[in-house]
Amino acid sequence: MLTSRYGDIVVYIRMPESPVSLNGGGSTFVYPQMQAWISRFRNISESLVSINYQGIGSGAGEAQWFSRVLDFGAADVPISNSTYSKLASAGAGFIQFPIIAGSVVIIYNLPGWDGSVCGSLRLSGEVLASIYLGSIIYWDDPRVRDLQVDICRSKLPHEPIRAIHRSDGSGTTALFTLYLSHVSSEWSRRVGYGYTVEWPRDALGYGEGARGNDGVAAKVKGTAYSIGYVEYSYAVANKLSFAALKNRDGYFVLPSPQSVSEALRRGAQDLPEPSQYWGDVPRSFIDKEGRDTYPIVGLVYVFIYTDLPRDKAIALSAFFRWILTEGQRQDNLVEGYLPLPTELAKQAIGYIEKALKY
Amino acid sequence: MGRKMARGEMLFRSFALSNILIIAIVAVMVILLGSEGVMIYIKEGVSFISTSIWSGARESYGILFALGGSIITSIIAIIIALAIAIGSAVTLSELAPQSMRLFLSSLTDLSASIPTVIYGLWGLYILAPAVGWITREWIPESVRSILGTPGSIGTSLLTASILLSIMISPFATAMIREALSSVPRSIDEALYSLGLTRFEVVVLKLRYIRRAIATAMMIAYGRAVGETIAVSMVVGNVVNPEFWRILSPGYTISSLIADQYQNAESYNYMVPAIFGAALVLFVIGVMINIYVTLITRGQRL
Repeated sequence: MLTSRYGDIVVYIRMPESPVSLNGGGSTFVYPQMQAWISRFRNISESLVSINYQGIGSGAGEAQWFSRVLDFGAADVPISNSTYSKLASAGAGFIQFPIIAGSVVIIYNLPGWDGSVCGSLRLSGEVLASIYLGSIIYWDDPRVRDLQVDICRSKLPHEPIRAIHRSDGSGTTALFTLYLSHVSSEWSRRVGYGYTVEWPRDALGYGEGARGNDGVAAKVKGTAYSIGYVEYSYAVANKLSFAALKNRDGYFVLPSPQSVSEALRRGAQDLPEPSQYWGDVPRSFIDKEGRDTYPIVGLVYVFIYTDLPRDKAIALSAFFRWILTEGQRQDNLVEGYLPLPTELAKQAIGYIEKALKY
Repeated sequence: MGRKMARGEMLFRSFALSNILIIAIVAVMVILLGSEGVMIYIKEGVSFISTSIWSGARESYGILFALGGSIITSIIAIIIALAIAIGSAVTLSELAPQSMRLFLSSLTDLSASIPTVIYGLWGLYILAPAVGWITREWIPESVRSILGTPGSIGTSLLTASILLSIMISPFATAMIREALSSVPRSIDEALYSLGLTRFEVVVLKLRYIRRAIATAMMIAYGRAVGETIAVSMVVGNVVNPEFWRILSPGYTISSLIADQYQNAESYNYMVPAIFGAALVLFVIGVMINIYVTLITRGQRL
């Protein structure tokens, strides 16, 4: 029996008696972190548990898990409405729970903006939505200007903002557009949120798509007067500078492990039962109040069935309870990935222990 | 001896079998595309190919922008590639000094075997900025108001077309070159003996091999319309309903599919939309193929 701790959480992990191999897949965002966890856990379990995770995309992960091709699925959003109703009508026992956090950051390329004097560019949710909707065209629009510190308001050029977005379907886009839908009723009405959406600014000639986080970052880097959004871990690993966002209480906050964790803690109170429909869960971590709370924060969710063969249930329970404890500690995290607050980890562990009995 | 003959005969017949296999695979593919895509045809009807929208959030799909982008980039690419390929094929098989021909031919063949992602990188870092710069500096505003303006780093439908033409011309060159050199020596000699100039001989020989040229262009079309990664890097990836504005960024069906299939299963209609788009592309390919076969049938010198 292995003891694994995280904050005030202590779990006792039991390994299977004979070697078990598990197949998982889904979210590409969590892939590097998952690989790190898998190899670490392989050592801890003395090669008793070997796991194969494929970054096939969140949507495919959910579908392949649902049809029981995969032992677990991982996605940047909870189980979708259509899969949920199929699960419910089939009467299948399953749970979903978060394993790690992520965040979306706004990057920009604004020649003439001196960060040492003016600090990070400041933006708000409404302004971001107006930019991507195309109702703000120029950098020196009063709505952008008024957000900046006094001495730098005149530094914004009369140039059109080039807004870059993901062209491939991605959890990053899902989280970003969920945020825009949350803060802007016009965005919610005209565009909505999801892995892929329409981008009204494109039609005006000031918006453009790029493939992957790297594509967006490269395009922003190569395009004067542009902005874009990328996954936090990608921005950190590539040392990109990002914008401060105005949060619900009016503070301008930069993304950081603290400001993300603060948002998660504030949203953590009310996770639904693991087998309920979680469609509204992502919203509960968006745009939270507080002095140091970053507004665009999301989770990666794992789905498992509860009616599994005994050895698989033991192995899954061991792996995910380890992820939710020691797996969240800094030395087990890949740079830029954000740990769950203990409140969330505790709930997730409770769900697993209740559902996977053996 | 008799046994050996029989074995050879069997091998020969198995070729026919492999041909049937290819046809069967294509048939299965069409059935798959149709059966997976049928939902979207029912849901969207004609507007699936007559409108320009791709929104998972709203479950609304119309592929006109990508269809137009695919066709327009392929056509421009083929026109440019045809010019390049005929020029270099004539050079390689008629004009270049005998000692250089083999060397130059293998260079062209080599460029046909470069992985497409490398062309894509070249397109992104060299071609696209060049197209962007040329448009900004040389193309007057009046033209740009009709043809559009490239995206940030010079990405546009035209950029994709030029990149495609460069990618497909080595292969087209090789095919036309082979066809030219397969023209019987006696025809060459007969033409020259009539006192024709070198130029006139080349023109006549090109007419003689026009079916080979048409076939080369068909295959080039297949490559152009199916090219994914390189196009995706330079086309701009924008839902652009005005796809005829070739200087603005756009989309092609192949790059759209590559962008969207990963999370498509999260939506009710996106998987059918992807299969439906692929089927439309396939049908267009077949129609072009039939058309080219018809117009070149039975035509000789």
